[in-house]
This record gives sequence, C-alpha cells and structure tokens, in this order.
Amino acid sequence: MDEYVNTINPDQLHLETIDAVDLSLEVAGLGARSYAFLIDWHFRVIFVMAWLAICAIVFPLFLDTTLPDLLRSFNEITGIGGTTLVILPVIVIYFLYHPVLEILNRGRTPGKRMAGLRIVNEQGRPPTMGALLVRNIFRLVDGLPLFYMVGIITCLISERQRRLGDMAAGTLLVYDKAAAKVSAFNQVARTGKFTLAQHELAGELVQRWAELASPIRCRLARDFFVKIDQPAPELESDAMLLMRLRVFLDKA
Amino acid sequence: MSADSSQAALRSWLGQRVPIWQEKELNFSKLREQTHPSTQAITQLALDYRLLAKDLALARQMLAGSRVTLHLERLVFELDEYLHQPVRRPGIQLRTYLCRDIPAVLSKIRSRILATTSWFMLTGLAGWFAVTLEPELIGLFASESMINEVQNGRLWTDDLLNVVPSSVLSAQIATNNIVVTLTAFVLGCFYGLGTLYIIGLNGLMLGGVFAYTALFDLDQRLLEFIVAHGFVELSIICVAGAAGIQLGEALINPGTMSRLAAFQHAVADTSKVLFACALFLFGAGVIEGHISPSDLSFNSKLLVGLTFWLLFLIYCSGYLCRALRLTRADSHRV
Repeated sequence: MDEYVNTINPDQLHLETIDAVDLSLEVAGLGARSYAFLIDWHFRVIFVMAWLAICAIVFPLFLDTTLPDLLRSFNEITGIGGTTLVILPVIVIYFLYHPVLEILNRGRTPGKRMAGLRIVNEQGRPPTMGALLVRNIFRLVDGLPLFYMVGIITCLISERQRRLGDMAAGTLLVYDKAAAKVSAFNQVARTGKFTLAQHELAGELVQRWAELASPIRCRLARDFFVKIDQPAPELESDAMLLMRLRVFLDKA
Repeated sequence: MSADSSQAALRSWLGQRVPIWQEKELNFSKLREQTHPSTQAITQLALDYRLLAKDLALARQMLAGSRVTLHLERLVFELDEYLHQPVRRPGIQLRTYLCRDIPAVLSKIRSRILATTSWFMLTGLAGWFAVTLEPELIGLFASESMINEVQNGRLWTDDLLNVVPSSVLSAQIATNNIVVTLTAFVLGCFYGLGTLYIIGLNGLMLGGVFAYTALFDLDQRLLEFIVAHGFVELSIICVAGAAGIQLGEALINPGTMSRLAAFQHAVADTSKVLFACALFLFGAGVIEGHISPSDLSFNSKLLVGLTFWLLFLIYCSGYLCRALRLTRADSHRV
C-alpha cells in the first residue's frame, strides 16, 4: 500500500508529484471538522424542513386538495402509506447527504466547502468513491455511543486528527487550497495599473500594521498612496489608511 | 552585478510573468468546463503546468509567503490534480468490481466465512437449548409484544401484510438488514470482537425464537415464513461477519505492515463485498415483503428460497460472470 508519512510536521500533508514540485496541504483539526459538520447538519435540517413544507403547503396548494386527502389518494394508487411518502425522503436526506454529496463534489459537502475543507487520500489526491463510502459507513462506529464520542476521541488522539472512518478509508480532512480566496495576480494582471512589487509592498504593510508605531505606519501608507498616484491627505486617520490598503489589496 | 540587483531583477522578471500566469489560469478554467477536452488542449495544459511549476519555485525563493506565491501555488496544485486524475470508465470499473474483485475477495475470506457460519450456528444452538430449558430467557431476545402473540398461538408475522403494504415492508426490511450487515462489518474494528458479538447475538435470537415458537407448536409456521428469504439473508450476515473478522485479524496480526496500514488494506479489500451484500439484501427484502407473508405453499417458498440462494452462491463463486462471459470481456478491456 502506498503510504507516505510526513515525519516533519503531522499537520502538513506533502504531495509527491511526478514533476517533483513540492506541494503541501494543511491538515484540518477537530475544530474545523466540527464547524463543517455543524454547517452540514443545518443544511440537512433545512432540506428536511423544506421537504416537509412542500408536503404541507405546496402539494395541496397546487393540486387543489388537502394533505391528508393527497396522502390517502397516493396510498390508494401506489399501495404505499402516506406517512412513508413523507418520512422516506427525510431518512434518505439524513443518511445519504454526506456520501452522495462527497462523491458528487469530489470530497466536498456544502459545509466542508464553506469551512474551506475537503477530503483527500493519503497522497493528497481526491479519494475514490469506495473510500468515501467506507468513511461514511464507519460513522456507525464513530457515532457511538452518542454525539460522535468515538470519532471525537480518535480525532483527538490520532496523529493527523482523523476519526476512525478516515483511518479506515485512508482519507484526511485538509484545508482546501482551491477555496482560498487569494486573487493577487489576477488583480495585478487585470488592471495592469499596479506592479507586483507595489502589491507585495501593500500586503507586507498590512501584515506588519499592528507591529509598527502609528506615525510610522501612517507615513508609510501615505508614501505608498503617493507612489501609486492616489490621494493621501495628511488628515486621514490610521484606521482609514488601513482600510484603504485592504481595499487596494482586495479590489485593486 | 551585485546580489541585491540580481534579486531585484528576478523580482521584476516575476512581475512581468503575472499576465502570463493569468492567461494560463483563464485557459485552465475554460478547459475545466469542457466535458471532453481535446488531446491538444491537455498537452498544452501539461506544458503550462511545467512552466508554472518552474515559476513557483522561483516565486517561493523571491517572494516567500506572499499572496502571489500562494495564488501560484494554488494554481499549480489545481493543475496537478486535474492532470493526474485517474481515468474514469464507470461501466468497465463496475463490471471489474462485480465480476472479478468481489468473487476474488470472497474466495480469499472463505475460511473466515466458514468460521463465522460455524459461530452463528453454534450460538443458534445455544439459544435453542437455553430457551428450551428456561423459556423465561426469551425475554432477552424478543419483545414483549412478540412473546404475547406467540403465547396467544399467533405469529407476529401473521398479519404483516394487513398492517404494512408489501412494498414498504420490503424497503423497511432491506434497510434494517443492510444496517445489521454494515454494523457486523464495521464493528470488526474492535479486534473482531464487535463482529463476533453481532453474529452471536443474531444466532442466539434466531435459535431462541425458534425454540420458543416450538413450545407453542408454531415453529413450522415460522420456518414457512423465513424459508423464502432466510438462506440468502443469513448467508449475507455471515459473509459481512467474515469481512469484519478479517478487519480484526489485520489489527491483531498486521504482519510486516504497520497496524494502521494493515487495517486500511483489509478495509479496502473486504469492504468490496458489502456492495454485493446490499444488492442481494434488496432482493431478500423484496422476497420477505412479498412472498414470505403470502399464502403460497411451503414447497413454493422453499423453491424460491433455494433458487435465490443458489443464484447467490453461483455469483459468489464467480461462475455467474464467467458463464455470462463478463469476466473475459472485462479482462480484455481493462
């Protein structure tokens, strides 16, 4: 079995590419994992509520009948109980939400996407469908005895903060590089107005803002704006200058 | 040229590369939207990847940790992932999986299947003797309503179709059986003990319930109910149990691999059989929902049960695919 063990930093997963490009991914911890799970849990609740709302309001409204009558006719036609018609999709949403969305989105559910996470295999590549199914089947154990206790404990004590399902499937939860909203050179190139050096200078100034004394950082910011031919009034406040620098970095 | 001016020159050169990177990124996003990109476009992308990788190496040196470097890194990462994604041939992969992988795994874990089946039968006998000797023990295996029904000379399965429509019943039964099968498998991660517990519990329940119904002369009717679906259903639970035992064995005796690697290897290998198990359990669920509670004669139900079981065994041996010439076609094409 291919196994790559990062002996330097367990929080980093290094990818081995055939072109020897050194790429790495940051392993997500229990906090990020729980955050993504909670978002997904809310999505599931929303989907269920939406389905129940459709059953209770929309169906009767458009089919010009009441819900009990609708369920009764459904039962007469198909032989399937009305309650089953309502409950079955709820069960399907609950159990198939994670595996189906992870397979369709190559290791990402809406919650993971919003939390900036994704599932990868131990080589840092998108996992196979089989691996995604296995990590979800193991939720049966991770969820024991209540509230994912086994999963949380395994996550806390395992080297790469993995729950049992991830260990079994050989998968990891990592921060998604594709989700990072860094669009530095897009902006530089799109406008053609600012140089890379200017962009980097602004980025560095924002990064060091808190470390510098107020008069110094204000002077540096004004010098910068003068250099890129933008107004830099003396009366402009410290906070305003910082905001303008951030706007420059984000929307230049 | 001094070191400082050389660095400045390189930084300036990198700055000039920005429009090129942006163009490559734009091309890549257009390519990603295509379902079947041309070979020429993919070749160009591979060249772009190399160019960007070279620039990334320089950017990491000159502009370490900068936003531009991060962005370039992300782009190289995405290109790398796109270029190295595995070939997708769902039809061929599914056929290989069903016709070659699953029978191969089943053949590999044959001895565990035998061991699990023996354990199931042993606990079934234990359940039988326990309840025959101490009928009160049935309270451990069956619900109060089931016990009351039997005491009144009726089986809990008697009015099943009057209470629940057969289609719903089939779905409920199949879902329940799949959960039991998956649980028997995953609990193998507790060094196989969880699997032994689930299989043992099912054996005790079956034996106990049969012994209790025998006390009220209802065992023949119970047999009539389970004969159409029971062979396959119980065989599948034993197969899933064997897969679970394999997980436990990998943890106990990992051989030359690390314990984690051995466990992962066993999971990747044995989990394949679960798919076949789920397929046959749906079949068993349909039979249990439609045929088992029906008024068909015992012999007809037995015929259905044995035919379905035979089909299951032929599939597990790999003979079914060979007979349908699926394996041969597959080996040529993969």
